[in-house]
Amino acid sequence: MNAMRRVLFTLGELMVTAGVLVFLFIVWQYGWVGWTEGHSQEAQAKVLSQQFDAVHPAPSTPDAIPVLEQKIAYGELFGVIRIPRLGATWAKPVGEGVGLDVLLHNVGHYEGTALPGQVGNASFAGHRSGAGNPLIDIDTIQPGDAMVVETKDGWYVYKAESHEIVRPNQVEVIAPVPDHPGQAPTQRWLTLTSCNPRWGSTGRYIVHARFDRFVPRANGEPAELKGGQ
Amino acid sequence: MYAALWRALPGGRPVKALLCVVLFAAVVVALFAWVFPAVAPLLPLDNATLNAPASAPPSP
Repeated sequence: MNAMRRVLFTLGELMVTAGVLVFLFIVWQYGWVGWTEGHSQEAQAKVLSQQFDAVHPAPSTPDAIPVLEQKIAYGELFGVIRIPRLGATWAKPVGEGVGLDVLLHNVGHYEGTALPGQVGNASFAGHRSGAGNPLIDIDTIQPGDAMVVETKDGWYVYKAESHEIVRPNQVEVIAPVPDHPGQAPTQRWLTLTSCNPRWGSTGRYIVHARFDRFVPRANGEPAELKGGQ
Repeated sequence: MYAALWRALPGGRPVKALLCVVLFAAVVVALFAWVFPAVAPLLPLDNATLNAPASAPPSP
């Protein structure tokens, strides 16, 4: 009888321990990493912006929309994405590729999709929860909201147009013409993908935006980033 | 299990309690620094990308 009690007691202790472990994991994933990673991503974005400033790009011909030289290496940080709706200081580095290692610290650019400013659909992915929760509030983006990608050349301003919630295998949302795979693009789109629901991953939350204008670096930050929406 | 730990710790009650706190803190640090980062990618908790992008993401 005593041995039985001992076994049950130990079992109970193990279960309580398991519960504490799960609780600590949640604190770590959504609290600790969200806080530390969120701050380091914003710091990284600031460093990138300063590096872009130092590049002194060749004065571009007026009205031309420059596009980054084609081959960007996997993992290379080539831009900063800013969406004023997600916060005045919200800024995330953009890396090439959407592997777990890139998304752990950045918003990732789907390889093979258009680059910012290019005709087609420049598509990006970011975590909704975990890895700094970069896109935790993606569902607050409204039609008309500015979504700005900064590169060494300047700022590509897109305006949010629509959102949709799709299954994880619906890759047509990042087709060159969003949702119309196979069609040849004539316009410039930006698509952001993240997971849905917020703490799960059974679906994907998609935001489509349409190109508004390009602001060369020499002209300074576009008004949307200075607090005006 | 924990009763055995309590008995194994040296000192009087306050010292044992303090040691327990220190041990727990050490475990939390180890979990946050090494265990959770290693385990997180294996869990299907958060997945932001589409399953079969037009260009499959290469392995890191």
